[in-house]
Amino acid sequence: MTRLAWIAITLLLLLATVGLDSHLDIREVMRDREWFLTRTGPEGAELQGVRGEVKAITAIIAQDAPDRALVHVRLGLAGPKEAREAWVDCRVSLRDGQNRVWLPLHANAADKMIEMLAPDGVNNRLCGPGLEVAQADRTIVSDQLFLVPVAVTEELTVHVSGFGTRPEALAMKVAPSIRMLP
Amino acid sequence: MSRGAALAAVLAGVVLLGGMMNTKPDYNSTFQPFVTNTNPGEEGMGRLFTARITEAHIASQIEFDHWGEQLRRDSAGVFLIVRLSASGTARSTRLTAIWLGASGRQYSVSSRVELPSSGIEYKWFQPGLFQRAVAVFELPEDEIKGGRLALMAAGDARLDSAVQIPLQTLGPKQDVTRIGP
Repeated sequence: MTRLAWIAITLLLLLATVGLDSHLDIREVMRDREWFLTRTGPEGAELQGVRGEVKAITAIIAQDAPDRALVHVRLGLAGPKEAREAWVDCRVSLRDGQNRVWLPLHANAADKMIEMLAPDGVNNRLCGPGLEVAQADRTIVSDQLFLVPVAVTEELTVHVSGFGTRPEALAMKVAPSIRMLP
Repeated sequence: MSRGAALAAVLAGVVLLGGMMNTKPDYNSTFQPFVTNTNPGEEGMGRLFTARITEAHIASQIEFDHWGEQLRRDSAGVFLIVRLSASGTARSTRLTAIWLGASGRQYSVSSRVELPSSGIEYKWFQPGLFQRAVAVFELPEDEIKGGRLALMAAGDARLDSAVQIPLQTLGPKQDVTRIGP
């Protein structure tokens, strides 16, 4: 009986060691993954004190590349300073029905294209770090450009999360308006 | 248990432990990417991407645009220019290309040839869309035959996937190759 007790204690200590050792790694994975989704339409919802919405989304298809579309997403985030600080940063992605992930384009050409494609001709830059420095009384607007296959434009969801919100994230189902370029 | 048997058990333990310590895989073997070998001309599939070599040739000199300025580079070896077509599978992905030479040496993409609009190290590969890219290596000519291209997702490749693709054909050697945008 005493021997069994020692084995049990050893196993418990082993499990505790593994748990303590992997604790930081598990937290790191959770801060990177979007596991718990608040699903809405483009009107958005509140996530940990910050309200996110898709203000505009347009898919642009050029005739000489009919298999792909540039998707312009204008995003709005609003909330008190403390909540924005707790978000830390902002990550925007597009996903389709198979959960494939498209990230925003970062090239200089993308900035110029956003200026050309945005309805007001303004590029508000990518959603990213710096949410906390914006004024409290206005919505923080950002512009993202994605390159996706035309076939998925009807099944897109805009995902938004912050380092401080993950594994929670907003998932906004959207239906882009289609614009054909000659 | 007799004293002799106990001593034998301890000695056996020491031998086993020594054996384990001496055959323990090193860090690189333990954490290296999982390699998928692809036949020449075929499409190789990694965890986050799929890619195929479309053309390869060697050149003594390379010409390219660098922010509007025409630059020409020459080399004590040769430039190996590998053109490929790649796509992301699960998520937007950047790729790292390495040439595994015939001698076993590894060559990174040449930093002397900056190609922001077509260089593989600058491109994002989107799921469902094939995009063309070029990888330029600077290396001794005898490292090409018997070598192969290794592709992996950029960043931390530990325990991730890597695709190795040998060349199917090598185009004729050119004195100067111009790489456009």
